[in-house]
Amino acid sequence: MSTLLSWLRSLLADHRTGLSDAEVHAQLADLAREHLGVGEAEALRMLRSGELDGTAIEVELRSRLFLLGEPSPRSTPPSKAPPEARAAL
Amino acid sequence: MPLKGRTAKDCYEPFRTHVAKLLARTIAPNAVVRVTESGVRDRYMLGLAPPGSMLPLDSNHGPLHLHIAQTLEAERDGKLYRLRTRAYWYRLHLAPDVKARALLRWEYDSDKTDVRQPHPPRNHMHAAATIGSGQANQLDLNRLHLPTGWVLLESVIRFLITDLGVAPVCGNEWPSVLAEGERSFRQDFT
Repeated sequence: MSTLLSWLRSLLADHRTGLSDAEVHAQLADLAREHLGVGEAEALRMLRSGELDGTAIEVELRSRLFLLGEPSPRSTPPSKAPPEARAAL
Repeated sequence: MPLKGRTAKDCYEPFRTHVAKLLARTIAPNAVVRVTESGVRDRYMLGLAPPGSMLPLDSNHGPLHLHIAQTLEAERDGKLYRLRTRAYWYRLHLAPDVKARALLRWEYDSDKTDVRQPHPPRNHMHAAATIGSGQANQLDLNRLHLPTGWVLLESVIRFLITDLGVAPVCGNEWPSVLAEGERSFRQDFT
């Protein structure tokens, strides 16, 4: 019984200590303002457009979207190689 | 075998400790590795504290900065949880600028698993370079997904030491420290 109670307590503790969605959004907004000088929506637009590919802020934003359970915006769309290059591949 | 635990924290905390110890013994004695929890989902992000920070490195090619992060999920497996890496990012930068593009990046994205959808290799790397000859045959390695196998953080650290001349904190013991890290990862976390 004590093991079960301990397990239940630890489960509850896990969920108590985690960030709420609102707190994750607040982190997104802070990151966007501090590092990009824009709001959360604009930062996510930049992320989805590929403007932030390869940067550290890209990773920080993607990590938080993952916490929110949102699908990861596609990173670095497949390259459109010119016909000459495709022929050589 | 995959790391299992009675709670999600039982899964990710040993992994966080593994990464923190590895960094401390090899290239970053003062690195602070954090795990941020999602309040309502079994999802976690592992990275350096504070957010966006990078590990400064002295290399043969001048100062470099390593940025690392992973997203993790603790999947229910009966009454237990099982840790799974959903994505990793290991990136080498010239400067600790969160808006600057990395020189080299090793990445994994488990979202790219739907066989019905076209997607680039899940495990891949990018480089800030263009190769080829002539205007038409240029290949932008920042956009191409060069396929790799699963890249361990230990492998990136090995590359930093052997190829870029980063001095290991543990001196001549670094081969055994990395070998132990690789063994531990494969045995305890996969």
